[in-house]
Amino acid sequence: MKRSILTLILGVVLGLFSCEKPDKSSLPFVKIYDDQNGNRSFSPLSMTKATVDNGYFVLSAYDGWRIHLMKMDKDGNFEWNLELPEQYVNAVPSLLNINQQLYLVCMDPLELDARILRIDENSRQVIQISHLEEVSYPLHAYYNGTDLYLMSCPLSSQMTVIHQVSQALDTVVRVGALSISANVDDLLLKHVMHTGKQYPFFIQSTPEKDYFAVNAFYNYSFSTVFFDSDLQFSGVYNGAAMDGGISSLHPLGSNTFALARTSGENVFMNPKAVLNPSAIAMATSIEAQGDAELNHTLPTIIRQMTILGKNYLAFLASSRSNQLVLKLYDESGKKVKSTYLSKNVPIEACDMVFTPYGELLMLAKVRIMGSYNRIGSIKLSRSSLVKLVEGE
Amino acid sequence: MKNFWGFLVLFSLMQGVHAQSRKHQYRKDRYFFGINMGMGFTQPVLDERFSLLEATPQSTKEDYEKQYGNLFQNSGGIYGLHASFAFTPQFSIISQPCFQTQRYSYMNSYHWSDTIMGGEVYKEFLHRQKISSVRIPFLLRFDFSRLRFSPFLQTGISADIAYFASKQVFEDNYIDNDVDRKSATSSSVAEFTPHLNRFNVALLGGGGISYYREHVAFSISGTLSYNMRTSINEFDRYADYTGMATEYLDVQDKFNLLSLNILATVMVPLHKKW
Repeated sequence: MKRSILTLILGVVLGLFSCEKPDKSSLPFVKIYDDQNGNRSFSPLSMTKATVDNGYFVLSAYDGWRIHLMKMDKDGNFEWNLELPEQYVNAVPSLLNINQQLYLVCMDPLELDARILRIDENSRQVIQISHLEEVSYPLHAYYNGTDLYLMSCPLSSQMTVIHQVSQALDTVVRVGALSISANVDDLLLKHVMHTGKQYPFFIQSTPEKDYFAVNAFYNYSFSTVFFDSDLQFSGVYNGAAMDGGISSLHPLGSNTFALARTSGENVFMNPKAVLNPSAIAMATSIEAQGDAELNHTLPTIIRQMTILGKNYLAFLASSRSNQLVLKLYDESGKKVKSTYLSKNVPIEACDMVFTPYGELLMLAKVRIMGSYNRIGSIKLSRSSLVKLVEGE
Repeated sequence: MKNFWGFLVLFSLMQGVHAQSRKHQYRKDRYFFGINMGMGFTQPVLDERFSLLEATPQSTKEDYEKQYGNLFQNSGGIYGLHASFAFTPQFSIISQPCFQTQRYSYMNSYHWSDTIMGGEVYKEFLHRQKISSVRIPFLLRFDFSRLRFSPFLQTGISADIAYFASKQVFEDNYIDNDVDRKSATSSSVAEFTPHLNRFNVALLGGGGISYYREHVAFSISGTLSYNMRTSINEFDRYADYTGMATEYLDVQDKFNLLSLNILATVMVPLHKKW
């Protein structure tokens, strides 16, 4: 009797301490960054990894088009922030890593031309390195590894212009232009001042670097226009007037793209669409799977990532019922998982990064206490992602 | 020094009882079975604090640490069975498998200024959690006496299996370190179980007194219990299973639960004489 009782106790103790130890180097988190000013409203724009450590920078707009820069560590803990002076407004939603230096592009509110600022990560300040007089009302910036491209849409010009910037980032060396043939000034001002619809402007290049896909106003519509490498018009997938069209595009190579498009009040997704850069077609002609629960006015973010050595595409969107929706597709384009993040408060997807540690870091706008728009970050750990794709 | 003299007096009394008990043995049975009931008081012992809302230089506070209630503000019930086997008349092993409810609560508060309207927004929250679990303890008990009345000390370990947990939040609009549950706005009760480490091991230690009759025995014991594993699953800390994370800016800290359990036990002996 005594022996059996002691054996039982010993068995329980050994059983407890013989369990497999989980990986605690990568833990998930949700963080919301506070500001006691109840009137201040933040719209997160972009997130990128710091170059001097493992933290992340978050670029946001606040109080309309003012610019806010925040640094957090890899666990989402706040480190420092910076409200840029009023002479810099309208940051484009791209934090650029150019030769291991971080840059942002914004605008002077009086001159209305583009300013390129370098972020000094050590001294925690921004330094203006150039202003480009010929780039008025910048809307997007894209660095393809060798050259910086800016999109602008000068007021009253009825033109969308793509500018290739010199290596020194101080002059425009090449320009491609699109005629809008309509006055979009009102839409443009509401977009840059964050007082109306936010258009998904972007410039993307194909992995072969033979084409640029540009989401911009073009020919009475908001469309996806293909330029060749000399910034000459090649083809277009037209949106439905100023509403609808492609909202997010991720080039996969060989004219294959992962994309999201909107039509009517619905969002459609295709993780493996073949587009012809020379075609002149309607975006609605692109075959895609619809999802009625997604909010068509909010962005969809597409990123490639690797889980357990396999490539996946992650689509992050916002539902009409105040949740983030994360959909994972495998290389063949088959959906492997759809999951919901957050509950009960308005939340909007803003950006997403696949970290060097195999984690998925998401940037969101969260309305806390039903009142205050704040910057939020959500990280899914490696093990969370493995569970997702393994269907646990 | 006062504690030292107190301990010395108590120890002398125990020794006296122990010496007396060698002459009169009232505890004649080796096996006892019974039932027990009681209540427990719970206190989280903090290891690491977490906050969903990150303080910045523009915040009203430097941190958003939770304020926990003290041990006696968090009570719960216990009921279960008792079984013991005596190796000697004064040294026995005991198991008291039981259902137990542990509660713990904490408060936090937030403040925002509405500079345009000139208004101030204050929010104070009381978070109450309840964990129901099955506890299977094994204790070694040393009785100081063989008399009818026998003080004892006991120590051991326990396997705790949490099978259900719930959470409710109460809020008001004043920051005064008090949320009146009767008048405050409350959330619905949400299941909290997936946030827990469902299995835990506790170290136990305590004492009490027994009263033995020929066909029945009673005891009252007080046992401190300390959970060796943290209560909250680290991988699910930020998972919003309750739907209250972003709504109430809530995330659980890393803590181990400390409990003081007061148990009354009624036992009957199996008349297997020494």
